[in-house]
Amino acid sequence: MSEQETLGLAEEFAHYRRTVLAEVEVPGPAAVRRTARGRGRRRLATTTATVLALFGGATLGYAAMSGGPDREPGPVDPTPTISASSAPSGSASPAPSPSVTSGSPTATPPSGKISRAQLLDASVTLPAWRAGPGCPTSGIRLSGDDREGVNWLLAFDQGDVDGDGAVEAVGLVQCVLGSGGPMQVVAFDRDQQGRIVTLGRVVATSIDKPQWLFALDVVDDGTVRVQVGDIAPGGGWPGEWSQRQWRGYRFKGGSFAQVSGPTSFGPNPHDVNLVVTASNLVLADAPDGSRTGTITVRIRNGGHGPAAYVDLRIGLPAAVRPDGDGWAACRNDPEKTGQPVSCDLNKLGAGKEVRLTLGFRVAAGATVGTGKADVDARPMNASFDFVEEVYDPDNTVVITYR
Amino acid sequence: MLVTREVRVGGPPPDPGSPVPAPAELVFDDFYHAHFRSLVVQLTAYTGDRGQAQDLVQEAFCRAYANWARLARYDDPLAWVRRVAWNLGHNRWRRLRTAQAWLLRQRETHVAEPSPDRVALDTALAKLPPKQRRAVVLHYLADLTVAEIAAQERVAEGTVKSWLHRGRAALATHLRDTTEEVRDV
Repeated sequence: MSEQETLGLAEEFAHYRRTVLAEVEVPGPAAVRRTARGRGRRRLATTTATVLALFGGATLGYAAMSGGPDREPGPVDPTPTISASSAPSGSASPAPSPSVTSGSPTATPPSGKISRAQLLDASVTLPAWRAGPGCPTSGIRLSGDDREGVNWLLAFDQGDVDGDGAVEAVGLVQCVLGSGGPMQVVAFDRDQQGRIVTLGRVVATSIDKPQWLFALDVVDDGTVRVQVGDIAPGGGWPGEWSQRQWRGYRFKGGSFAQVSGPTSFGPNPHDVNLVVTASNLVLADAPDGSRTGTITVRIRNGGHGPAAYVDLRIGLPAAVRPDGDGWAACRNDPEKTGQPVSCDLNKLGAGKEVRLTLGFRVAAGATVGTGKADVDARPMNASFDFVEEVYDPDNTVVITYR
Repeated sequence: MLVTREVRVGGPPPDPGSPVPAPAELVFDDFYHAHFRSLVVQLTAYTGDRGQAQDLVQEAFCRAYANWARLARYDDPLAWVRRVAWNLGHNRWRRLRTAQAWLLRQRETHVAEPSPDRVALDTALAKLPPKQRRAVVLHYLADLTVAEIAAQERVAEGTVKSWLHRGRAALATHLRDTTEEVRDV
């Protein structure tokens, strides 16, 4: 390497440093403290989730969590107090409910905006969580932070969602179980006495999809927009991998129904799990003085989505060359690949498996001895870019050759 | 004592009169601001993913905060945080926790596309074996000496020299190839 190239490298890195420095977003030390505070509380839950994740990835981890031992139902707040903000009925009712004096309840919409603080301070009843371990829903208070087992108010917005001219509150609530838990978006209104009551559920996560709700936005026409995600983050699944969609919901005939946005998710490119097994290579003398042998490679897609292509690589010594018809399934010409020998395979759907019997030949006079080689399969997308999997130790097996 | 050489970014400029503040007086927030961004640059070069690099470095600082009483008395607390961040970067298992930290923050990130200026170097770095990549990035972006890299990676200095030599040569070749490809187009 020339001195000029050394200087060139230094300049490349200096330029790189300047460029990335300009892009960095700094969460700040306050975020560190928040995380540290949260960790003390959730250490046990995190450990459990991590262990689950190691054995099954996000989906199994989540399912296992749902099937875990029932938690003890009980009051969310250890010191239940009289709900101060649930305005008492009657003439002494404080400011939020001027409508209480009305003589015709049906004619006057309940008014009095519900602030986030008022919602957190009120006793509310949530639509029931789905079957399995959940959080209490009746006469509870939402929590401003994510303690285990509480109904955590993650996001909040306001708008006239039922078209009555008054402004309602809409909250994104998660029942905190470990690092996840079911989520739902719920609309709240005030009744004639000014008490905060539940108007209805907008959308909820499910065991299938969406498994996550990312954000909430009430628009001027009363549509509640919710950003839903196909797969829940956690257990090794980064949130960036989840596909997100904005879906709109309107309150019609006493309940919320979807009015805009997509209604289903396509397959998630990361929701693929290739599992490789392979037999050892035993070379035997052929009549022409060369040595030949075969291995059987089995690649199974244990994920829920397809791999558009599969890149198979076999790291045998360079003198061990592909041979025979077993390579016909490869889209490329494996004989032209070096070390490792690689073979691009076509789409492998969810639950599908491909078995290859691959022949090898060592030319007469060449020696390879004995050793170990990696057999490795990686999913690729339609553009032939590698797709990261949530669990990849099973993408590689080591075989012996002799 | 290991010398901290990272470029101080985002923090107060170093006082020319007093070269190194007494470790016992080190304040976490100052320490964080002085080093967060430069560590992200290094981990971005190593992982090729700035968003992930930010998460890794933030996680390293979370762990530093949990041990701050002890760490603040170290001669070189930065070496500790850097090693943790790098270990997180090349230990896949630990990534699980990063994902959970992500969950806790429940943030929405819209990571911008990387600037085309750095794509060439990112691409060239991605072609290096991880050990050579680590050595090269620590040398050029963390400004560490061979001895310091050896200490962080827990290997002999000769090993680091070999990584650096091979890594630099390969990088120069890859970059040359990229430049020629661009010219050919």
